Order: sequence, then structure tokens, then C-alpha cells
Amino acid sequence: MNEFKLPFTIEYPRKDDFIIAKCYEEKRECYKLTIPKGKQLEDAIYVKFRSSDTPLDLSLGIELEENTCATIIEEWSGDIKAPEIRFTSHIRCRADSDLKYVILNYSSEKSSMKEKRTSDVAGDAKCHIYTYHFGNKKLESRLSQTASGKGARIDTDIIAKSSRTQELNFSCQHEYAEKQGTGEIVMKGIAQDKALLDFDGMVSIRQTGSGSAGYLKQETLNLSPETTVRAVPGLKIDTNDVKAGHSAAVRNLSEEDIYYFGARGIGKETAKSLLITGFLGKELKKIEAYKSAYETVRKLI
Amino acid sequence: MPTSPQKTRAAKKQEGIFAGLNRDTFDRFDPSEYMKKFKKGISAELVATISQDKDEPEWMLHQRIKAYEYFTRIPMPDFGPSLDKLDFDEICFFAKAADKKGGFESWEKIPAYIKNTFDRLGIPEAEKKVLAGVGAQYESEVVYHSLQKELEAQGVLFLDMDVAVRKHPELVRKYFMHGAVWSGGTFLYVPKDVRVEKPLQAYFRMNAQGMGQFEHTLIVIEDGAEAHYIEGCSAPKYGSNALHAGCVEIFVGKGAKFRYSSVENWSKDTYNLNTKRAIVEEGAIMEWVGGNMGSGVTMLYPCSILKGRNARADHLGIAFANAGQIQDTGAKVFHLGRNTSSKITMKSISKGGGKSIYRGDLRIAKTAHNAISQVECDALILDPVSVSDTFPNIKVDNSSATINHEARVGRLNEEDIFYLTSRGIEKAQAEAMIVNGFINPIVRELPLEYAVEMNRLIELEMENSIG
Repeated sequence: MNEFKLPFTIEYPRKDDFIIAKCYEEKRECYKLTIPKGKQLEDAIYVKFRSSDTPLDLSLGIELEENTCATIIEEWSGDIKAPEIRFTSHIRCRADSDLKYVILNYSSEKSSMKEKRTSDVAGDAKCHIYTYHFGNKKLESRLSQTASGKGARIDTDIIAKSSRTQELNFSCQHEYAEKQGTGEIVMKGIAQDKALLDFDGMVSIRQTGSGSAGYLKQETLNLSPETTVRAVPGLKIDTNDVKAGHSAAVRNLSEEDIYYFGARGIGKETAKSLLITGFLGKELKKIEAYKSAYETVRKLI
Repeated sequence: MPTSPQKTRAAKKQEGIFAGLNRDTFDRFDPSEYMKKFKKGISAELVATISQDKDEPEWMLHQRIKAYEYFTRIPMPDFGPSLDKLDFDEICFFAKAADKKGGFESWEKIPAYIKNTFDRLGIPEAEKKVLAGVGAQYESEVVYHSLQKELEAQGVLFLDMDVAVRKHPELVRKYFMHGAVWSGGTFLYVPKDVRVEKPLQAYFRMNAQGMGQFEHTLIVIEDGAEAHYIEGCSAPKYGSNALHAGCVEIFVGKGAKFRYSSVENWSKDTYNLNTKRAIVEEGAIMEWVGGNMGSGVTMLYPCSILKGRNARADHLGIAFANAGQIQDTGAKVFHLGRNTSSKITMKSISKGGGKSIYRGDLRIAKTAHNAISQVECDALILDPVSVSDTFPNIKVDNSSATINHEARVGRLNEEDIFYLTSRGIEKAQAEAMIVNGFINPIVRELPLEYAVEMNRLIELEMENSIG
């Protein structure tokens, strides 16, 4: 089917359920995966990026045509040691489509990554992006979803763990451009050792987005005295018929909770580990149906 | 949150010193022939002239010149509302309406047109009834300053800032940090363990067209002392820009408690670019209560630096952005000491295309073990063309900190309006009642008379319908 070499492998039982195309944008390789009109895919499509030691500059487009349903899991494994990665992705969900897009990144801490992801979600379509990020030495991630049709739903979950000297910066924006859009951003992370974790979120409702409801939630566990944590939960609301809000919390593990475990004979380190798993557990459950991805993330946590 | 019956009654009956305030109270202007003597624009010469006019010591002149050099080098802010239409060459940076160094001894001796303005604003009456002292500034200089005799006897100083520089240079020099063209303002010094029971007030009035006011307020609350200071301000509307860039510096000593309240009602062609900062020592409490109703563009973010252990700051604020207004307000809190805590509660209302913005900066330093902070921002948007933005910034460098931030934006609840209208209350009144309830948790922190004033100002903004 494909006469060109892809920088990623695709794991999926039926190759004719989607179309892969290659193009060039200003000499840059771009790949596009399209789910044709009416296709309702039950299995997840795994997009696994190949190992690399040299700088990467990639672009991936995803398009769900009208009345489609798909789950795509994008994986950046520990074999990816490219010193620099530049990645852009654009998702387009046409009317009545439903996309679940899972990003697993546990690439080598030798690499630095700059990624820019955008989505454009049409009327009555849904796009839910889940990001589980553990890799990279330095990350600058910019993710922006736009509810551009009436009744569109956009959700983003960003789950991150920043350890040792990692510097992970996430910026996520939801924009409601048409009436009755809904959605939520959840940014949840753990910072430890000498790491940096930066969550910058924004819910923006335009004047044309009346009747929309958007929420942003940021939660960070700050586990070590030498970490730096930043939280910027923003709102830009240009009309009054809306429901919008945000919350941000930064804290350490509660001594009381650790004591509770201790009183039942569970050691401090085990208690901490259990509490951390509990903190991220709810977010992890969201991908429980995709066994391989679920197991990978569970081990990383 | 329920109000005290006393306050509710007062608000209902519209009694009290400030209950009769109306648009004319603020918008009426007096003759300003004196302006012919003063040039517009800022220059090094002007800075030297101001210092000479005030007969200042040399250190203050040097400070002014240094500040002017900074002013020429530092660019305009790269955040917030556009200041492109603010032309410094069209602003008068220094003007005196009544040339009387140190102000007049009594209200009766103040020229009638100035006194009438303050009478209209209710300041002399408030002095008699509810205040421990008052200061009144008109254009660039203070025209009147008073303090109750018993407080003077306890060592409290409440002076015109120009006078304080001359009479108490050792105190002023220790704490003062301001710019090139400052003029007027208030100096408040409360000695150790002295409690000032009644509030003190300063009122700042700009009268002439194209005026700029740059007062400096310096407040020193020594260890264990307590005080409450209220600031009010207003200016008539001309249709051309005016500028207010005052500075408030507060030092709260160990175990001291200080509340700074302000009811800001500059005219809607004023740029209100204020700087307010408090340094809070061990076990001390700093409380900011603010209402921003006026100005075309406001950029105001009171700052608390929690330097000592167990220091605390509470920031409470209301912003009302009506047609043509941008209220860019918020709070900055820097936690430096152990066990420091802060609470920020901000409420905003946007109407008629107005834009309200909460901008916050909360930082927890490495040294601030067990710091706690809570931020709550609520915004009401009253029509489809108005705007509300929230831009908080939280930076944490200590893992023992606990931070919570919450913000909500919405409109008036239709069910609440229906409930009230079904009981015979007119829709506009029902909406005004809900808005009053929305801001009540902050208004009730003000003394009764000023709570009435704040409610009255909100009522004036709510007049002529809600969308």
C-alpha cells in the first residue's frame, strides 16, 4: 500500500480502514492519516515513531471525515534518542466524528523536543486528546484545540512526571469559536528531584461562542525542595452566556495520609508510591481499554 | 453571605454621608485658571523645579533625578491594556491650585471652590463623624491635613508628604522609594504598640483638564501597632486624557496589623497606573480592600511581600468595567518567610462592552516553608458584548507549599431573577440586588459609611439598564 518509508510504524489489523499519504511543506516531510467518511473503527491505530539518534523534524496530520469514530495512539519510546525533535501535528475532526487521541511519550532524556499540536473540531464532533509525558530532557509543548462548529466537544488531559533535571513546559489552549461548545482541560503532574514542571492553560470563549462551557483544572504534586513548579490557569471570556472556570492546586503529599498508611504497617516510601499512583490513577483509568498503552503508562508511573 | 442588619438598613434607606452621591458629585469641575502657570510634559528641568518649589533636601532631589533617568530608559509595559494613546506631552505633571505650603489649618481657610468640592464629596463631614484624621489633595498638593490630638500625643504622625520630607527626613529617607515627579500624598507613622481605632482617610482630587497626579503615600506601622487607612479619589470628565500614577509604600512591623482600603472613582478618561506595595514582617497582617469603579484604563496590582515568619496578607478587590473601560487589576504576593499565608479574593463585573481582567502573580520562594495561599476570582458578565479575562501566574519553588486557585465566570442567574421578579420586584432592581449580593463579601469589609459609598457607586454604574 505504502511506497514510501514512514518515520513510524503503524499497528492495526485492517490497513484499508484508513489512508496514509506523504507530502512536502517547504521541503519538510509531512504525513497525513485520514479516516474515510462513515468508518467506525473499533480497534485503536498505533502510530509508533521509529528509533533515531539524529535530529527529527516531522509533521503529522490526522483527519476524521464526517460520521467517523477512531482511537489513535501515538507512541514515542525510549529508543528515540534524537538530540532535537521538532514535531507538528494538526487534527481535523469533521462533523459528527469522534476521535480519541492518546500520546505516550517516554523518549530518552537525552533528547529535547518542541511540539506544536492543533485541532479543529467541527459541529457535533468530539476530540479528546490524552497526553502522558515522561520523556525528554527538555520539552516545549504547545497544544491548541478549537471548537469551530456548533456543539463541538474538546477535551485535553495532560499527565506528566518531571524528574531528575527534566524541564517540561506545557501550554494548552481551548478556544470556543461557535455556539454551545463544551470541554475540559485537565493538567496533572508530579515534579521531583531538581525538575521543572510548567503548566500554562487557557480557556478562551469568543463572542461567537455563546452557550459554551469550558473548564480548566491544574493539579501538581511538588515532591522535592529543589523543584520548580509553575501554574498559569487563564480565562479569556468575550461573552456572557457561558459557563467557564478554572482551578489550580500545587501541594505536596499530605503528612496525614502518609501517617495513615504508617499506622497500618506500610512504610513511608511504599505509602508515597501508593499515593502517587492514586493521584494519577484516575487519569490512567481513562485509557484502561487500550491494554498495551495502559500497561506502558502504569509501569512508568 | 448575610450583611449586618445595620448595614442593610443603611443601604436601603440610602442614609449616611456618601448616600447622596451622584454623577454630578464627581463630574462637576471647578475653574482652573491656575493651570496657565504650568507647562505640560516631563523633563529633567521640571523634576528640579518641583524639588526646588518644595524646598526639599538634596537627597530627595538626587532621588528624583535618579528616578527620572530610569523613566527615560525603561520601556512601557509589554502586558495589559494598550497605553499608546497616553501622551506624556499632553499631561501636566505638576500644578498647584492654592499655593499654600503644608496646606491650610482648617477647612474654612481653604478657597471656597476647593472646599466646595470636598464638601460635595462628604470629606469634612466624614472627618467629624467617622475618621481619626484626614488628608485632602487637590491637583499636585495637599490642601488640608488633620489628626486627632490624642493620637498626636501617642506619637502618631499623619502628615502631608511634602511636610514629612522636611520635618521627618530621618524616617522618610529610611523608607521612601519613589519617582521623579511625585508631589503630595500622605505620610502615616504609627509608633510601636499604638492602636488607631478609627480609620484615617486621604482623598485625592484632580480638577483641571489634562492633569496628572503623582502623589506618594508612605505608611509605616511599627511593631505591634494597628491602623486602618482609607483612600478615595475622583476627577471630572473632560474627554481628554488624564493620568494618575500614585505610589503607595507600606511597611508593617512585627506583629502589627494594617488595613488599606481604597475606593477609586477617577473619571473615565483617566489612565490609572498605580503602584502599591507592602513589606510585611514577622507575624504581621496586611489587608488590602479595594474597589475600582472609575478610570478608562486601570492597571493596579497591590503587592504584598511576606518577608517575616507567619506574616499574612489578605487581598480583597472589586472591579467594575463599564462601557469603554478596561479594569486590569489583581494582586501580587511574594512569600519569602516560613509559615506565611495569603488569601486573594477578587470579584469583577463587566457591562456595556467593558473589559475586566484579573492579573495575578503569586510566588513561593525556596525559603518559604509551609506557605499557604488561596486565590478566588469570580466574574460576572452582564451582557454579550462585555469581556472578562483571568491571567494568574503561580510559581512555586518550595515543595512544602499548598496553593489553591479557583476562578469562575458567568452571567446573572435567570432563576434568581425570576424568583425576585415573581415577588413583584422590577427586573432592573432584581439584577442590581443580585449584583450587590455578589460584591457583598468584599463591601462588608469596609466601614459602614464607605460600604454605603461603594454600593452607591455600583448603583450609579448599574443605572441605565443591564443587557
